[in-house]
Amino acid sequence: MKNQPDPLFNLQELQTISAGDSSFLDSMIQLYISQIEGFLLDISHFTLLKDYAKIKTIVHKMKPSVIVMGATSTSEIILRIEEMDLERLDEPLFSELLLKLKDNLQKINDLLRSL
Amino acid sequence: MSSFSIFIVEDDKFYGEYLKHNLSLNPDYGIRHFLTGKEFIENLHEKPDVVTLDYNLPDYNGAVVLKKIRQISPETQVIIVSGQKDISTALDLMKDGAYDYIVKDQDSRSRLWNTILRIRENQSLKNQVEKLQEEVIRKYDFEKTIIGNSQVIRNLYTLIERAVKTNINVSVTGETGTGKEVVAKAIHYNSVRRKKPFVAVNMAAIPHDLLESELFGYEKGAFTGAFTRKTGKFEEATEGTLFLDEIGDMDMAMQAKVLRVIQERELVRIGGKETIALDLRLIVATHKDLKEEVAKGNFRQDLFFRLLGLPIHLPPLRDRANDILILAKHFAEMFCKENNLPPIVFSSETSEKLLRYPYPGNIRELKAIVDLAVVMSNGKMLTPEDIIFSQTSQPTDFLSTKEMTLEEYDRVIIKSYLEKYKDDMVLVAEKLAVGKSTLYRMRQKNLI
Repeated sequence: MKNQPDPLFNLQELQTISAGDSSFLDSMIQLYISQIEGFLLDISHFTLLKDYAKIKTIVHKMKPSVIVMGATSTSEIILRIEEMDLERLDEPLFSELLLKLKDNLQKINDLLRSL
Repeated sequence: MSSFSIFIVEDDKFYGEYLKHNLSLNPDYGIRHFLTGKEFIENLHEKPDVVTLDYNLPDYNGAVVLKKIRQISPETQVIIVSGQKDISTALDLMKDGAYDYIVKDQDSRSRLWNTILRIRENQSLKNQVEKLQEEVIRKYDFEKTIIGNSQVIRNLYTLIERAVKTNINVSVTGETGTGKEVVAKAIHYNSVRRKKPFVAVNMAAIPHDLLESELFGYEKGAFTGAFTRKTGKFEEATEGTLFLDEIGDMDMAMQAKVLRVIQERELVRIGGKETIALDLRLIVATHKDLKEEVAKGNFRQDLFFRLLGLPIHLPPLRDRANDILILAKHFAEMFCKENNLPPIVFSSETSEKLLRYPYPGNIRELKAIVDLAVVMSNGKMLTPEDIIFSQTSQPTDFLSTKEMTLEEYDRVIIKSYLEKYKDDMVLVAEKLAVGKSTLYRMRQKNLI
């Protein structure tokens, strides 16, 4: 059997606590989308300024929401960025991870909008 | 209004709503979500039961908010919910009074749920303890527990009132069964120390070689068998009252140690080095005449004066005959209440019979006689036949039957007590106010 790619997100956690309340689920999805959009804008802004510390703060800030959304591979990228030492920063790796993160977040938002 | 209020302080709107909805699945919880520390602090006067606090708020650091909570609402339990896994921060916050530290990860929802359940359980236990404390305090309202209408009792109320207003040591004397411990409890539960422990120690019931460790405690490894540290009775009574019953039975070596502790108001556990300051009220009791014991050289004079404090003497029941019927009726009423029985009355012959008896066991004996009488009665009226004085309660009976030496009388009395108390040597020694070792010696020689 062919391996299925990991899904980008999993709404099981939110569905569990929604206890069948679809309006709660919808409002949480909307809240997540708008919050991530804000974070993405901030990341773009601080990338231009090469302010990696600020970027790390933003990434750290979005982590709990990403975990709740069951976005496991995305939260792993976040962890790797969080662990990077700014004193001896591997800039190409940092940029690569950041790009991957932004891409994932954008895809998740697009998928969520289409639900 | 919900019975349990939880404030969520979380600047991440998504995560805050997630926590709020999750916790609101329990209908007992009333939940509010605050996005800033400022907004939360403005509402802290509502004194929530629990606060879940994000460590990194845009306007305040979690440690600062925690400090504010401790100042304004010290009863509120704080759970730090943070994205940081920094152990030292977590430890510092726990030291400053946070109840738990939860990292925002896949398990945080169940951990938070369980932590709040644990807080509720603790709170419920605390409430139960407080309720029980109140009940005990009400129970020992001294005008309800020390019953009587004689001048002696009225004087006793005055003395107790004086004792409760200060921290003075109190020495209670009186025959066995006169209510020395009842007086000690009445003083404690009506004083400012009422919510702190009342620790009673019967000095005569503890073997001499164990008394020191019982009173002062010991450190791990202080002697063979000291596997863990043990707190002594003095320490247990911290901020409360220590009641040392049968203080006259202490040997001279122990008297010196107790004197030192009372004088210095501090102790060192056996095998320890740390000095522990003591803050307690001491109440002592004895059936012995301590002045006489001092004169005989059996009791240290300096300790006697240290312990004397406010002396309260409880007269034997036979010297306050006016109170016998009041007490008997009180005990009957209490026994009926406790056993869901209808109230019972005393016939005039019953009252006369009760008044004629000398009560060598004092109030304790009267209570036992009345309790038994209620059980033996027809449930409506106590008759003289229901009043049964035990054989050992009538020491004068055997005087008329046979002439014996004093030593023989002693043996008859001890044997009858041993029979009555099912050969419990410690209890009999306590009842007869003799040393346990005396009884053991007599048993070894087959005298009893």
